[in-house]
Amino acid sequence: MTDARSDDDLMLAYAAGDAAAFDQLYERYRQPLYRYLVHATGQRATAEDLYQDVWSRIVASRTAFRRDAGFKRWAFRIAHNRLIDHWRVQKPTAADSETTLGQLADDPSRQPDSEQARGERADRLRSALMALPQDQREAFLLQQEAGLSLSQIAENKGVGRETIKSRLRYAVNKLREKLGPNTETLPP
Amino acid sequence: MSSHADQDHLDRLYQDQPPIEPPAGLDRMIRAQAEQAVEQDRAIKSLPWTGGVATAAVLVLAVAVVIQVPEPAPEVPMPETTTAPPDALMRQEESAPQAAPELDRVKVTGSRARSAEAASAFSDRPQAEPDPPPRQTIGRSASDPADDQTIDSAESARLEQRSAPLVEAEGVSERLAVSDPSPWLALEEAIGAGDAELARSLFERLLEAFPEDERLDAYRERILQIESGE
Repeated sequence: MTDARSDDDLMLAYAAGDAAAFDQLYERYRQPLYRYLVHATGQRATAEDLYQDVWSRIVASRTAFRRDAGFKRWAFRIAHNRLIDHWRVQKPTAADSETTLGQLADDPSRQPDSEQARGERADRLRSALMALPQDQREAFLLQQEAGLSLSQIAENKGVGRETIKSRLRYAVNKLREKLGPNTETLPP
Repeated sequence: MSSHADQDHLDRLYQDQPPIEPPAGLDRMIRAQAEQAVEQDRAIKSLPWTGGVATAAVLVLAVAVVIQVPEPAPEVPMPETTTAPPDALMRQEESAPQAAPELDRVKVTGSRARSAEAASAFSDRPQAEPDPPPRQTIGRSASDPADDQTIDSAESARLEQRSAPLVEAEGVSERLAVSDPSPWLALEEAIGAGDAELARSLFERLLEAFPEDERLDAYRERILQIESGE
């Protein structure tokens, strides 16, 4: 059963002691946050560790949440900061990323043809994402997963709006080069 | 291809990915962690209640203790040595050996009551009737003659001490025998000795203390006889 309350209302209700509100909120953000971390790190195991840590921080900071912060921005800022900490400690290599990215999707041979083609496209996208510089990849993921605007991403990362705009432009160009021209017909 | 078209293409490509979901075990772990945090909040919020109740209980206990503790009784000097005859003490020990532990307390209580009576006899406030001494029921019979004799001896010593300042104030201490056990005995002795001045002084004090005592009428007649030289 879905809850009509906004994300912020759910978070405030949870901070006030409503555990059911957290379940609703978690259901809404479990996939975007997880996917953001998987694509950002390129390693599922690392993403799971970070994912659990991000939610732990959300739980621990529940009383510090303010409505004007916006839950989506707030949660992804926590995830972003956790990613920065992770990258400071460990620099992923391209080889590791390639190996791990292949494991993200299920075995294509077991999937139907349409699903198989869909999986192949996803693999190519992940490979192209991991080839991006870290700043560009993160700006792209924040835009895609969190739905943040340029200003919000800039605020999240603590840089100027034009910087983020530039990073996104570079990211899109590189992804286009990697993925080829837009000739495929994607399913609706 | 325009930048907007590339962006839209990438958006659709990204959204078309197969769902990547966290493991179910991780979901359960995070949900349990969130629920546990809320329960801890509830437990912490309930602490002020228990703290308040504990504080109130301590206050009630303290007030109850203060109410229950009796006020300290005024100290009465105990005679260091008893003036009771040795044979009386012997009889006392023989008649009530089992009451020996309580004897000291009885002495104190009995002599204290009688001292209060004697003191009231010399007080400035008029008193209609002297209070009877309290009956002792702890560990002995009420009609124990040995105890009474011991108490009387202690009483005599104490009355002597109490009456001395009064008599000195009247200027007649040298004429009052030190062994007078009570004002009544002192009056009797003064009449017997024919000391009209001392007898009159003691009589006035007794009359002030016991205005309705019938014995005073007889003493009045006898004092008048002394004064008239009969």
